[in-house]
Amino acid sequence: MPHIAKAIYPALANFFVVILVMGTSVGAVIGVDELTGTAINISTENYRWIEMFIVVAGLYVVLTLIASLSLALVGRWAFRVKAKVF
Amino acid sequence: MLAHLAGEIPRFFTPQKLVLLLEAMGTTLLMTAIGCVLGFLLAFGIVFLRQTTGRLALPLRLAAVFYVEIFRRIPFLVVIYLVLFFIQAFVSDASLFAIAVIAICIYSTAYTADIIRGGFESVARQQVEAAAAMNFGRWQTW
Repeated sequence: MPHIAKAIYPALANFFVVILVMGTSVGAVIGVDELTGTAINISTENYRWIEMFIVVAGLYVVLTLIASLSLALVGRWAFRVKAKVF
Repeated sequence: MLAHLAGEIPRFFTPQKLVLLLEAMGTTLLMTAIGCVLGFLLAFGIVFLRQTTGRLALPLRLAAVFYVEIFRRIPFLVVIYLVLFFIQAFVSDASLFAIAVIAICIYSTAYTADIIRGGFESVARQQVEAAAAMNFGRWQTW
């Protein structure tokens, strides 16, 4: 079990980030109030689409950077996965 | 142009808008976390079903394979619409957040099951045989 955890942890962490970006933003089409959905709501009020989505893109980058960094740290601490961050 | 844009910034970033965006960020993170953790746990069940042996467990094995192969071949957008309309057909006032979490859960179960199966198959066959030779059951081998 431990060596399996070590083998699959990077793929799982990667998948988490993929869901974090692609999966949840699709939720906007059915009207969930997540990041993309809120951005669309605000932009339809003030017609600042470009500015709004630049900000949202930046927020997504920050969010995924935090997520993948903390997942890499957890992996290093718990499973001794030697992920090269930089 | 740039000076004009710079002048617009304070009007654009009102505090309530930022709070709204940060809350939305939290929602995004929460949806992902719930969906992925539930999906991970369910995926273990799927992998367990898929690795059963013997003829009696054949339907279970088939069901697990069908689940993974079907949901890996449907786009996430289609999955989320299917879940939305299926659930709204039965529960008319279901919250959209729950529906999105269920869709993410279904999707991540399929993908995570394949990731975990890949992990199990990466264990050398000799090690599994060694565990069997030492009279370990399937649970102990895991």
